[in-house]
Amino acid sequence: MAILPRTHQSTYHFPSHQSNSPNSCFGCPSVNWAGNVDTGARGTYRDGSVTVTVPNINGALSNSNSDGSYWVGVGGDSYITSPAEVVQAGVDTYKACSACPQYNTSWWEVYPNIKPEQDLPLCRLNTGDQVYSFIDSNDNNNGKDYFYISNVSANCYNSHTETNQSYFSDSATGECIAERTGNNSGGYYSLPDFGTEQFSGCTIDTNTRVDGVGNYTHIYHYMTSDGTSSGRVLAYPGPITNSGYDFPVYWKGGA
Amino acid sequence: MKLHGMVLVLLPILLLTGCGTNDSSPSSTSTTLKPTVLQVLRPTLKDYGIPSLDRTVRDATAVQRLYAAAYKLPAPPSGRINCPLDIGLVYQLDFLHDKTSLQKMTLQATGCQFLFLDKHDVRASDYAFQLLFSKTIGVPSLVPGQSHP
Repeated sequence: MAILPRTHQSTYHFPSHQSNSPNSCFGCPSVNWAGNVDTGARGTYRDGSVTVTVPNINGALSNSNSDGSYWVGVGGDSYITSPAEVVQAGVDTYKACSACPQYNTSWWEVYPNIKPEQDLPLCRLNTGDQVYSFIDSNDNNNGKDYFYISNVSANCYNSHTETNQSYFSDSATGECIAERTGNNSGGYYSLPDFGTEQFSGCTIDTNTRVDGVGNYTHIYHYMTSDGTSSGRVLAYPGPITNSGYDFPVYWKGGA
Repeated sequence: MKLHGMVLVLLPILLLTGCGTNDSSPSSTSTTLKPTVLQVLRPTLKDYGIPSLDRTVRDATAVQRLYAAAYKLPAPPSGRINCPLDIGLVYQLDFLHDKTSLQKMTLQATGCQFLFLDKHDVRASDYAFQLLFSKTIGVPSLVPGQSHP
């Protein structure tokens, strides 16, 4: 199966590829992100939301301690801007070994200025549950970061607010991403086999516009073992559909 | 006399090993000789059109300032981290005293932007350190073409 690069045949009107940053790489590899990213000047993107399904981690793990997350966020593209500050929320799946149980968590994070993943627990988080995540960062200069996660299947939610302005996003990007998470040894966990993760309703907001991720100037990233195009592909996004709002990310490899 | 002799033998060893504490300062060899030269290599990143960079900094004061700043960085926080986008761009640093290599480090230019002092000592770099590094080696930003506030 030919997998990369993705062909840009989709049902939506494909926007012109222009960025306010001199750095723009459409369809480029990365070490840790697979998904779609809207790009602009710092301060552009303030809100984001997406619905994902808690995946069932399949098969034998190629390495122990596999950990992946599926999230919506604003900021954090350190290729485009510096300092990059990502405000994000989503779902994390972790498995320590092939026969080990799968652990799912819902979380928020502001990095690098606060801490790693912070639990935002829900009434339950089972494989197959639909989870809606919403974040905003200084939306219309309201002076706060806000995180909201809802288990749509179980009809429960949780939220968190931060008011320290040093925690605001760089807001140069807005994105929906499947990620292999990092650890404090400076490395990355193996990416668990999540099969296909559907990002539904990936909506990114500026202070004046609410639209699908595919309807802004955007780029996509696929994940490889070493972050280069010659590395082994770990995950990649499929075409954006539903008028710019939906796209899948496919798992391809673990380490 | 015997006890006195043992103390004389053990004291320098204890001082050198930091009495078992988690000392975050440079190793004893490195403290004896201060770095005077910094060699920096940034390998090419073809996918992003980023060329290689090879710089040698001979301003001993600037080199020592950066060296000290590196050792003052904190360890990364524990727990799972959803890092910013990591495109795999790194800077390889070699701190030398004249021509003798004292310490090699690797700085991730993107992603979590960790600084590896060696295999087992990882630090979380911050924006102030990244600016100092950029200034020391004379580049406007760690990633060419990056926008800044």
